[in-house]
Amino acid sequence: MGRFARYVLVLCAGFPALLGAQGFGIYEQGTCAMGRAGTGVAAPCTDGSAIFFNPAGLAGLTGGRATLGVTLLDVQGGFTDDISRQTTKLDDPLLAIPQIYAAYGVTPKLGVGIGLFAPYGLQTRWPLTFDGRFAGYDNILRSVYIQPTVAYQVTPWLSLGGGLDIVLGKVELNQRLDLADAPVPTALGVPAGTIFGQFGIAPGTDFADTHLEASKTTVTAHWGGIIKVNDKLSIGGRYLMHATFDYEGTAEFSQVLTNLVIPATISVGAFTIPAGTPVDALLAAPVTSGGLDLFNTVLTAQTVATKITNPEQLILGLAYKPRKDWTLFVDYQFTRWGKRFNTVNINFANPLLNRVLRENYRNTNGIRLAGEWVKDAKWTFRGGYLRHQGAAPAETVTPLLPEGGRNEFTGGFTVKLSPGFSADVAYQYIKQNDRRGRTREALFNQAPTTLLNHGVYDFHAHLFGVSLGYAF
Amino acid sequence: MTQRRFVFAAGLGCVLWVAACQNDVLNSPGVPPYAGGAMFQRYVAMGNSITAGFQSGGINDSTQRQSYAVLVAGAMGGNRFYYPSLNAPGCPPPFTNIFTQARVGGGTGTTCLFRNAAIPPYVSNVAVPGAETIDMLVNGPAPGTNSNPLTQLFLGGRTQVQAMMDVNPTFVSVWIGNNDLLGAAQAGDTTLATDTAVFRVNYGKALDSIEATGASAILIAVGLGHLSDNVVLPFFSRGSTYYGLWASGAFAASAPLFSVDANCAPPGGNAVLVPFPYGFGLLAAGATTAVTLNCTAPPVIEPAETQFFAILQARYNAIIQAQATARGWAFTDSVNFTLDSLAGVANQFAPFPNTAVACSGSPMGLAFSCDGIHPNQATQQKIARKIARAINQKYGSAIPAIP
Repeated sequence: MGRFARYVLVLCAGFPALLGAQGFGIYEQGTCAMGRAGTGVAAPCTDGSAIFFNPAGLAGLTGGRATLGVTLLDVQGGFTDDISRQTTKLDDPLLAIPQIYAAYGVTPKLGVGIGLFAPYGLQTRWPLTFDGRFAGYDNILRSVYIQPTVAYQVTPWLSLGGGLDIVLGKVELNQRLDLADAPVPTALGVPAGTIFGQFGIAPGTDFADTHLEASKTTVTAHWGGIIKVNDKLSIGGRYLMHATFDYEGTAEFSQVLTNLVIPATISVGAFTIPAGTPVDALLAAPVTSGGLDLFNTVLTAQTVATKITNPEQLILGLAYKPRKDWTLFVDYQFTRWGKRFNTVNINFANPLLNRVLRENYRNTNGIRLAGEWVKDAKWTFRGGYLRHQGAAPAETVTPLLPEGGRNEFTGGFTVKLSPGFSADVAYQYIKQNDRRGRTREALFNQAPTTLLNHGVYDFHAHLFGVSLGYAF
Repeated sequence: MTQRRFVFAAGLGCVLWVAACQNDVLNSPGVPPYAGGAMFQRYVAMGNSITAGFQSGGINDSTQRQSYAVLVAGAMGGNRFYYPSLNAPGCPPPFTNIFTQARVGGGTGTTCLFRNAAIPPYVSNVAVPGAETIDMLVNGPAPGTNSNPLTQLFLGGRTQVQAMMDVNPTFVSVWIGNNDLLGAAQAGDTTLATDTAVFRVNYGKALDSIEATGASAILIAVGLGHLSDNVVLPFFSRGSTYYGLWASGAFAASAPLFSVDANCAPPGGNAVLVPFPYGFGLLAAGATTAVTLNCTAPPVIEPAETQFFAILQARYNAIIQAQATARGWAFTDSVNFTLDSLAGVANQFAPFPNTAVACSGSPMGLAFSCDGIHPNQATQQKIARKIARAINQKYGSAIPAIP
């Protein structure tokens, strides 16, 4: 069992970015709900995914439900530069998201369950030829929520539920350092803020590779309620609290050869660099040998810390049955990015390396519409549409998360395979609006502006979900 | 009924889709709108100090902006043309008075404030002062190369060819070879000139790299006037001019011990060229020491040497023209013809530096900056017009007129 749990966690490590929710939110937490465009806060699917979509949905459960599923993601996107008009494609492989829910109706009123899901996360992988490699070429932000859940039917018309979330967070950033942007040590007698680019080093000259990795476990909570107005209409709501991670980890640096040579003797302050000096030797050699010794002084393995907060989610929705075999859903989602994701300080042991990412995310709103038709005892079909805003403002659309407003279309079905087993299949198409963005951070931790934007990010994805449920 | 519902649902879906899509678009500079404009979307200039914008013995952002390459690029109207902008007062700062050696901002010949911190994403003007043909391909300290600190500041360890290729150009201008000849002429030593066979190989290799990018090009003939037409930069004064001034007593007050040998007298001295630093060095020494200008002693350029350089210039240009023809590119000798014409206009080429004025008074003539070698702003404009016209003639394009 322990090995299985670790396997599940390893699978979750592959949670990709840029899925169907605002910012770095992810909403594809169940195949049935995926076919409904993620709606169902007022009437969650009966596959146990109510643990995520509304904990109150476990109340009144008869017997048990266990669901194991996977969603395959074919993510396509890229960045097209204004000037060169060349497009760099995302390098994301076909990814798989596992889903596991187990729920049990202890009494006709009391339901319990446990779920494992990841409502926030991202992974963006770019080729090393992409100019955005200096912002990050392989970036992972992962939050795996393990949520023991309890729900109770307070009255025939009111159910409440809640869970405690143990959240395993991990952040990983791989990036190249551009010598053109790197500050020249003031020990050479140059004014502070002088960069190697002023000595002719061309932008896009990789000289170091950086790997930052940190993890943290935190706790938060999630609760919801469902009001059954009558046999046709239900109203639901859920609230996922924010989760703050005070990450601590390590930063490692390795030299990337520029293979450049100083063509003529040049004086920099009191420092004279002889003609023929390899730039790589200049950067790495000890001071006693006329070098800057960067990889033994500044760019050494060291601790790094940052703080990232997953924002609150508030979802309100209706489920309405115009006919016995039809249910219509509408959900509204509010995500409080504006308070939780503004400035990310990345603090190194050596403060010279400290970075400030100014994200300035905005609160976002989303609307989800869906319909479900129960054809017969064996087949149920569903489809939906959702639309949401982008959390990133125009000045912070970057290679780390080039997100924006999206339109998404979904469809799916459930088929009962036997009295105990059922299978779900769903498809989702995500079309993100093309957004102008940039590939670089502003120099010296300055606040970015849209003037830095120099191209357009495009993104779309095809998601295929399949799951197997067992009722006992 | 079912069909109507379906149509309604489909229509609603389309409305939602259209209403919800708000795609941003590329802010690409459009294709230059005149005939043949697409050819000039990304222009790169290769060359030496003239192309880089060197004037009056120095270079800074102000002089860089006056380069013909910047002016041609502006008329082309393609993607932004970036030059490696140098902080004021320059690297080194241009002279304000060449006779007192005063420079902009009180700088000296070793003053260098490096590049502007606003580093452009690419460099379009990859020309480097002092570059010869070999320097397009190889950087120092390899033997035979002429790299200097500006090579590092402008190209950052790349060669001109590498920097050119990094821009993925659609059009390239090449004006190089002047220093293959001028360096030897300044030193008065013909053996220092680049051999034509070496010139052909190096020049050809650089052009191969341009051709590999798919760009079109214009190759500009070596020179600022045809030496064969007796057109000489104001940097050189004729031996006979020195002789005449000395004989008239023009130097009696400032350099009483300075004299000029009779071998500088006309007509023989008409074909002898005296480099400015050498001649003025003697004049300075002549204030306190007895010195004589001898028109047969190095580094003066004697008639046979003048003829050598004139022939070499013609050979270089024949090689360049042949390369242009072979590759279907433009070639122009019009800059030399323009300078030939200017040489015949009063006050454009000073026969002898006017020591009474600072650089603002054009001591080397109205066509030149005050180092006597590099064109001033007005001549750079004339050069730009000639080059744009030559491009239009060859390619049938319609690059707008340069004001």
